[in-house]
Amino acid sequence: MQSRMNKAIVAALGAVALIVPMAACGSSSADSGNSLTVYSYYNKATMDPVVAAFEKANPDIKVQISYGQGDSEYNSTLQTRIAGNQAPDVFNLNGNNRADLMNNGAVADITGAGYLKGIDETYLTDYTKDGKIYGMPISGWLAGVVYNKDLLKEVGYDSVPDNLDDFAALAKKLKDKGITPFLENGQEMSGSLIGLLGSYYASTGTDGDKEIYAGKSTFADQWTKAFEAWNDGFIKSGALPQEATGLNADQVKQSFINGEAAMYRTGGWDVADIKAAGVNYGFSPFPEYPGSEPYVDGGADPAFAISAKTKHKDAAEKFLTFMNSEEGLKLFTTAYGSASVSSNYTSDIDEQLKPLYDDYFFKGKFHWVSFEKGSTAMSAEVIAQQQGIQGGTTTPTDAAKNLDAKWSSVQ
Amino acid sequence: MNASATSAIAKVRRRPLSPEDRATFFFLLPIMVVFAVLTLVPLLSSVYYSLTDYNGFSTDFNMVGLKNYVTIFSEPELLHSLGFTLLFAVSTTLLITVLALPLAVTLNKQFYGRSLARSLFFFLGIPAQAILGLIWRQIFSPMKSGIFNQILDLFTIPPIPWTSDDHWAQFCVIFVGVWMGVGWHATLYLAYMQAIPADLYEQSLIDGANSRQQFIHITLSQLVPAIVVSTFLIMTGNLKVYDLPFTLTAGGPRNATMTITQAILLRGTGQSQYGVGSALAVLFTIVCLLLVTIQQIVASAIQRRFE
Repeated sequence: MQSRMNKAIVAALGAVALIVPMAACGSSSADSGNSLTVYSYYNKATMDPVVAAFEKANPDIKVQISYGQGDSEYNSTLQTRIAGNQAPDVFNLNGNNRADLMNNGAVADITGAGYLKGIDETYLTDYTKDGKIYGMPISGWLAGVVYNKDLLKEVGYDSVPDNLDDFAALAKKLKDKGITPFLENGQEMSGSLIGLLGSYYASTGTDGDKEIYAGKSTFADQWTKAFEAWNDGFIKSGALPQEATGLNADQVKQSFINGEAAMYRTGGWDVADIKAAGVNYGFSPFPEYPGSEPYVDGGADPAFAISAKTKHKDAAEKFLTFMNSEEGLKLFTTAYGSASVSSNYTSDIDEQLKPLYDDYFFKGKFHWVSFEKGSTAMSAEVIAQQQGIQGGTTTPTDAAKNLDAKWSSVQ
Repeated sequence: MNASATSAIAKVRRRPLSPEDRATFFFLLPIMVVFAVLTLVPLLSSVYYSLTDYNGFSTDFNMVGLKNYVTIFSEPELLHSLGFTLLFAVSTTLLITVLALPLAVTLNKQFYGRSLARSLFFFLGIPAQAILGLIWRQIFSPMKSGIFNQILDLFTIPPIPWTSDDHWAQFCVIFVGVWMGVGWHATLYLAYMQAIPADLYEQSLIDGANSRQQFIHITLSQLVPAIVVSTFLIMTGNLKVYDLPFTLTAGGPRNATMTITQAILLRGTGQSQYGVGSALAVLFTIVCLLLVTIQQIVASAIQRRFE
């Protein structure tokens, strides 16, 4: 009898042990005074120094920060938290979640807030809807072509040509020497394609993407020319080999560092690794669309935003104020390796990369595609189409038409 | 209703729960709660959301009937992801079983270093799939510097576009899936083999059976219950595969290795189409149930044949 009783007790305890942790998952901690919840797109190494300095400057506010890795994990977790009424007080808007969050009233309108002072309006555009500002980007990114000076010298070049035909000629010389000319992450939208697209738009004088979003134009009208130039200059010339479709960012970087590839598409985030590997490197913009000027990929980094339902508005505003202060900007951009887009602080930039910031980024000669609806689906479709062109199974004309078909199906 | 029937029901009703019954109930309670909270409730929620246009943000959504299901059947890429998932699950189930059985027989023989060999094969399936995917990504790199391509180069064979060609990429995912599972399932068979009476082999030797006949008529027939368990585990585990293709090929190239689990996530949270994502999950659950039912029917038919 005693042993049966014991069995029952053990079973009941087992049940309780399983149920208690699940119950704990269900609800968040209670609203505790001056605590501020932050869900950060930026990693711990970037945000820890910022949070520590913020708490030191505001001893009455305790920051509870958590982190998401990469767009897809970050965006899905944030969406789940918002759907479950557990929205963090401060979070980040990025290219793939900004439209959904701004359209669904999940973000507070911060138009006219004092803490936006110093940030150039150009960078606020992506986070503005119907004249209202929802996010505060404090830094900007750019990507261009990083090249191995020694390998280029072997085939008689000092830098990467701006002209697409000359670029193709360089690629051929490198290929003949057994060197892979150019690589980029095959699982992202092609940076070289977007660079050409930006250059093409510069020649037409209109931002074709905005025309598409407004329903005034189509991908067939706006993207076909860039797809064709990309196909001729990068794919048919052999500059970007088909193998690149199976490579991720790390593999591309490795190929460059071990001397297998002469050029690849990257930005400031890889500079430390390239330097550590002792590669003699330089940066250049992407080759231009025929008759236009060279462009780089770039845009504002994910912006800081306040939840529309926050109960800690004052603390959240203090946090954003700190982010756009000299101290906050210095700590953030140093740890993240990006450039401040606020006049409150000027970042130190790698000397090889600096000309790209000065001559292109700060002069507005940068482009990136940030779809205003169905961003993840559209990005995935662009990747599938560019892979189709690389594999020779899709023509540039069909690729653009397929984007139109996808655009009409996404919400 | 006659009097005796009434009294019988009353007797059943009146019979108090024995302590054994209560203990059984309490032992089952934790798993019932876990099942209800983590499986049943989400599944029913998915069925509900699959009939709506919920976008994951706005609580203001509408019932749209079967529209989301129509969307799935009209989008080739979603059907393709379902197709690749089935290809992966069925091919890995067959290949792992075909390879694990002879491996288990070999590992069951006496030879120097047997324990080490058993441990090594078992270890293949221990690390997380995501980590194995990242490691194999380097091995299957389509560049000349990729490990397999360097080996091919030694024999002057040109590099193979492992993860950058649709069919090769599918091959890579299935290959690693099989590689990971073989050792683990061979260990499962090995455990079952310990229960096969040695007398059977001795008697068959006296009857003049050779080792092939012993394998087919004794080992294989005695292992049928193990094969049923093993194939069930592989099939159910590999239908919901996510980490391996995600880290090995990221679903590419051209969505060639996109699995249904990736598509559900991409649709549901990535594209703010919880409705379509949920419909995909419901449909996938039905396909899984069908497939596992077929597998069970076939398995029990084979089991009866060997009894």
